Amino acid sequence: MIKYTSIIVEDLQPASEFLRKFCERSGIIEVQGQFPNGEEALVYLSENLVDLIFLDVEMPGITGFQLMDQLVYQPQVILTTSKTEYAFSAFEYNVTDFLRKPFTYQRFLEAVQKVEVKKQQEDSNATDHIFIKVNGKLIRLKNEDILYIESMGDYVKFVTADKKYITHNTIKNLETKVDGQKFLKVHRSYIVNLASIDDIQENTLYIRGNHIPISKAHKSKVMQKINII
Amino acid sequence: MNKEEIQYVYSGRFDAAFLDDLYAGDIQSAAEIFESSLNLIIPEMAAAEALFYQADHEALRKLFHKIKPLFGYVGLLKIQALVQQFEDACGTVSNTEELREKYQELVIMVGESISIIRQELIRMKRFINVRA
Repeated sequence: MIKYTSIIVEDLQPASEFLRKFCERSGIIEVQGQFPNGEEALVYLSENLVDLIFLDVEMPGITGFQLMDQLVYQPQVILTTSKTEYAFSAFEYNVTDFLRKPFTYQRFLEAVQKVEVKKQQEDSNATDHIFIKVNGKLIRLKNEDILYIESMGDYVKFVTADKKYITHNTIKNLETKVDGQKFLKVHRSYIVNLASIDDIQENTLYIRGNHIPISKAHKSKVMQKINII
Repeated sequence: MNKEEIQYVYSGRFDAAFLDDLYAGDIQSAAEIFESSLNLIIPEMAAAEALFYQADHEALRKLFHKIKPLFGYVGLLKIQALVQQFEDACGTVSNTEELREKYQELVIMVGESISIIRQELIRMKRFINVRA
């Protein structure tokens, strides 16, 4: 059963193929694309969401680290490189694991295990509320009360049924802080509470009369998350 | 004897235990990787020669950084380590003369490697054909 969608960003074709075969063998990782450079991967990622990126560091064009800097959301990343000197930077980027090429299937499975552990940690860190800082005060917001969160440049707006709170933060940062089971980023400027969605029409969803755009990149994830019967 | 039970045995120049770990007996996959590695190493070595004589050490370093893991994928771990040393040297030397001896040694080692990878690939293909 497929548990994770992924892409491989690797300029060395045999290494990319080798990794694809390991993913197939695992039975739980689907490879949605193989890209020989970061630029092509970014184009794909601007329209598609994946759970995991296998990422080489030194490639023609942008490096793997530069690619991570440009991501608009934060999938898990496993760096694949032949140089151990990148290990420290990998740590700073909070990547899930660091595989030195060539690696064995056993080592690959250990990295996949780390992906599972990290995912479980993210899920278990979820609480039923968050605190936001507004005008010097910390305000407790229950998850169920938040309808959606909207980007306003360096600020975000938390919208509840009867109030709006503006606080200094970014959607990209909040994406990893809110409960991923209940909230979903549907556009670069919006995170919505899945339980608050009233209806969806093509690329717009509606929450209490508010129109919220769904970007092409996030559409498939939205459709996966909602309970269509 | 059941054909399915016949195991491929890599030639002595290769790190057989490492290759068994990598490919887990899947000789078809191993042969594909051997072939694609060979097809990359040969033209890259031709490109390396031009870069060496142009004294473009950074481009040379990047080239060897790129092809280095290929020697690992074919079980030539000592050659991979040698390429790593040369890659490091490219990043530290100030003139081409300092690199010349290392480069010439590497070219000989890689040339021999190409030859034995090619021979092994022939053996692997024969094995696959016989088993089929």
